[in-house]
Amino acid sequence: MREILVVQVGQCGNQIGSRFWQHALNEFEKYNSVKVYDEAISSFFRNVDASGQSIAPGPNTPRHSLKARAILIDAEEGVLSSIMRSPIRDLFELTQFIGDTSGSGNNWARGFHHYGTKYHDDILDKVRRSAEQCDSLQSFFLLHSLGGGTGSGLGTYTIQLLADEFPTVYRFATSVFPSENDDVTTSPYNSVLALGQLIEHADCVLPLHNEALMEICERTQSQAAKGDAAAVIGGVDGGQKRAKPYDDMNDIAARLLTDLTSSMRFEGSLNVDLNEITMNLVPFPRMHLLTASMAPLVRPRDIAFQPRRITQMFDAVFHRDSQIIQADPTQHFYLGCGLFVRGSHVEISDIHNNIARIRPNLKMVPWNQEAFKVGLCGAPPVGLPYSLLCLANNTCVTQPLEAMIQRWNSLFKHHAHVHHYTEFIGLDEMAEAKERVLSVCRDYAEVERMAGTGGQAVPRSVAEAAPFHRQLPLF
Amino acid sequence: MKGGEVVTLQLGQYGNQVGFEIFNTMAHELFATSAPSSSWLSFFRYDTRNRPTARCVLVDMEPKVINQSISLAESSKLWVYDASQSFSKQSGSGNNWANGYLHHGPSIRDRFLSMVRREAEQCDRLSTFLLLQSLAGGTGSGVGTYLTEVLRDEYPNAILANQVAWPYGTGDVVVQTYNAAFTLAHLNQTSDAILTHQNDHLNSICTRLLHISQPSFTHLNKVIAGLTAGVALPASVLCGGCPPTSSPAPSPFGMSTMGPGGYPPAPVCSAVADYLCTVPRSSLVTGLPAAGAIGGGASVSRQVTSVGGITICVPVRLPSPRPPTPSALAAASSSVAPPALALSPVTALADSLGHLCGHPGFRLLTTRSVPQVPDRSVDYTADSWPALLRPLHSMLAGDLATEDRIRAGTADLSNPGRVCRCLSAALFLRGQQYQAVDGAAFQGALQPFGDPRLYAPWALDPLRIYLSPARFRRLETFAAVVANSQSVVGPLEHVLGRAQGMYAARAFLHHYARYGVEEDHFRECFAELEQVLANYRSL
Repeated sequence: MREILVVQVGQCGNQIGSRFWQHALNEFEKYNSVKVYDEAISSFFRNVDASGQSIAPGPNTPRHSLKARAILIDAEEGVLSSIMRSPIRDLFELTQFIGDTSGSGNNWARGFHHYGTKYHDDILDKVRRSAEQCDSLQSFFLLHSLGGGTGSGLGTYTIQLLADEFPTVYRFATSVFPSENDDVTTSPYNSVLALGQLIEHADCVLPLHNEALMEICERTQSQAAKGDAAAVIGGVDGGQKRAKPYDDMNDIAARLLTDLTSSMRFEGSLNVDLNEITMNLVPFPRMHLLTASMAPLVRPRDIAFQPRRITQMFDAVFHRDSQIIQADPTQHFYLGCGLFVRGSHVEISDIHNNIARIRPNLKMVPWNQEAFKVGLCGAPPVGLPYSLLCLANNTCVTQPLEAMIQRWNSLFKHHAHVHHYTEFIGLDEMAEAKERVLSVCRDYAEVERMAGTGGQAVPRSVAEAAPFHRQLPLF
Repeated sequence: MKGGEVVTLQLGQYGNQVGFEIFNTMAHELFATSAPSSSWLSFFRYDTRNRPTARCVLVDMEPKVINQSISLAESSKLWVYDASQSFSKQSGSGNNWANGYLHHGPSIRDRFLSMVRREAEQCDRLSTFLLLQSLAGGTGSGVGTYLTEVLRDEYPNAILANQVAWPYGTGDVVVQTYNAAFTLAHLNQTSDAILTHQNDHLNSICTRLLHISQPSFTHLNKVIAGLTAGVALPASVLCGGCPPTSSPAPSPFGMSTMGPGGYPPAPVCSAVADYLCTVPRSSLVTGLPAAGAIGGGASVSRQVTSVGGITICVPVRLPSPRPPTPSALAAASSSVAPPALALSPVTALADSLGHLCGHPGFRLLTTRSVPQVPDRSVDYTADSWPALLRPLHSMLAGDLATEDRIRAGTADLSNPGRVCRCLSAALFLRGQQYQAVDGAAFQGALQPFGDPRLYAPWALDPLRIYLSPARFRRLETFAAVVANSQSVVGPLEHVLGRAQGMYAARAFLHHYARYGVEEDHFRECFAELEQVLANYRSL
């Protein structure tokens, strides 16, 4: 009975969320066809009977009406009401929604300060109520995008609130980074301001690059065309035609979340708890941006190829094309690398053989040459024989951050759109957020520089926080 | 059971998975092949429904693995776990030693102790706690370390043995070297014996000898179970052993024998040991407290027969015993001639651990066994004792993980730099009775194990041999050797080096500081391990 509470904010967050709940339901349909409400399901869903009472999970507890452990927040009505018309509407109760009508106008400051203060009590109340329905709340998942106003502003406000109110519960942020040429002019401001909050208040940030997601989708579709069948990422609903344009991309994000949590829900020979991820992959405070990659991203039987071998899967996750951010991790240094395998026919020796095979091609920081965290879960995703999720703390993560800062600079040089923000915040707050992002970039750069020379790296922020004395030999 | 009961504590995912395999292997050995005798009572008891129940407490910070182990045992139809003796929390230790040691450990202390007490009350005479834990994770390492210390306070006279899994070289957990360093440094101060198994070695046993192309954790755990059961199952002491030389070199560490927990051997032992040759061993062992039985082997004169470097007590019926040496005869002349005696089984685990870990600076043991054959080949495997013991000896002397029949000559001990020296060793022989084989060949096969060049010059009474006529895994002959030897130096150096490297980069320190483990603690643990390393290097 270890639960996850999903907080989905803004249009993008709610769209990812609705795909995620669909994935989660499909997975439980597959592994729990007898309609029992067990502990695995209870990590995502409550079991509510006809009288509205929550029922505790057990080996023989019948499933009544499942309710998602989620809070849905948006400053517009559109997406929320479309969720209420969708097939998964029964998963949500009206008390789980927080909605407004006027939107945040793509303004982080409006989302954070205006809506944040307006809905402070409401958010807190709903989160508390959901937390009280949990037996042992493990972590919060924040789903949002950084480019807009609501997801980035209200989303980061929420994560700051959670950090204050629930300091011991882990906070994972799945943040969609805007494309270089997206339709929101102010997205550099919003992204940097939001990142400034995430660096401070989240335990772990999983950046999803919009462009990278798009590229993956295009590639899988063209592959599917060759194989004369529809490619389905994560293999949720067969070869059905997609109604919504972003569903493919959201499916990738949703599968990232189901794979990440699979080990705490299903049995496996090497379990991974969510709190182990930060423990193993975040060597220094604030350097908690993890790049993700997954394989296989196409259902093998949908294309004309034979099922891919396990070794191909391992090659794929280190390849640039599988990365969900636009950067090449093999050109940069790994501070840590988590490999989480799902599948009943994969053995621990397969994983170790593959690590030994691939390791020479990877650059590891000199003080942590064996920085691999391995998980092995027995239950593969729906429609696949096995899958591999790779989360890495790699210095390449600074590339999108630096690009973002550059776009910020080119806007800020002319003080363009700044007056929209100064309505709510001072220029100093903007400068501070930018400085936070820059300092993380510098820390990563320093690690990379030191690693390149083979020396020991101590990021600036760590060195400043507690001076490192080298005067005496320890032994 | 003569020699006392063993209560096993399964900690964390590794402990619970491997614990199941160990009990399952023992259950198959004890119940499936022969009629149950009293000998199995050291590891099992009867529950209210008269089913054999493991003397075991199961602890994990998350529920899935414990439930799995309990139901697997239930479905074996041979034995069960007592489900009321299990305890899990909902939130794992997150691979953080500090979280397990300072947070989860104290929070389950009372619950844990009451379960252990319940188990202890069902024992006739509890001798040993066997803790199964991994070094890499948070629960096995952190909670396991804490609970070892708690047990040391609550049961000061019991032997505490920790069986630990040395993580894969490539790593399952990024912070494994920190966790391992903390655990080993703490256990070195509290535990009596640390039995180590290296995942990399187990993996090569699986691939090279058992012909499993993709070993899974179950395969590795079965190998560990075979090694553990081969040592822990009842056996009889063949040889008290005497110093290989007439006067051993003085120990550079001041004391030569210490009982478990750092206290000296009970004063009763020399009198008892004189007695050892003339009375049935059974009455000897029952009459002794655990510590006495352990210290008892040392520094006493008795009627002996020399076989090469080792010496064999006369009461044990040996093939063609040679006449006792005059000096030994003189020592034994005051007592009556020993009657021919039957062997009586002891809890080999407690007895051997006391023998092996006689010095507080040396607590790390490694286990090796031969033959390692796939189950399907067992019926076609019939090794003579010499054919079995020769590769085992070269594994011991050359620090090899797997046997190599092709290249296994007699190990060359002439180059001291290449010999993996031991402080002590215990040899377990199971199967075909030694009476049934050619005496001279048997003696000849045992002889290399007594070679003084294999042991530290100051080691006293370094070899003890245990025998059991019961076949193990249906094998005609089976031999295992547990050694307190230099073979731990390599892995220990690796762990310490990596941990110090990460510490110098100040990586991951904030995770430990969050639970109150400060930098001084890191340095103290590193210093402790440096000392252990220096001890072993000096052997």
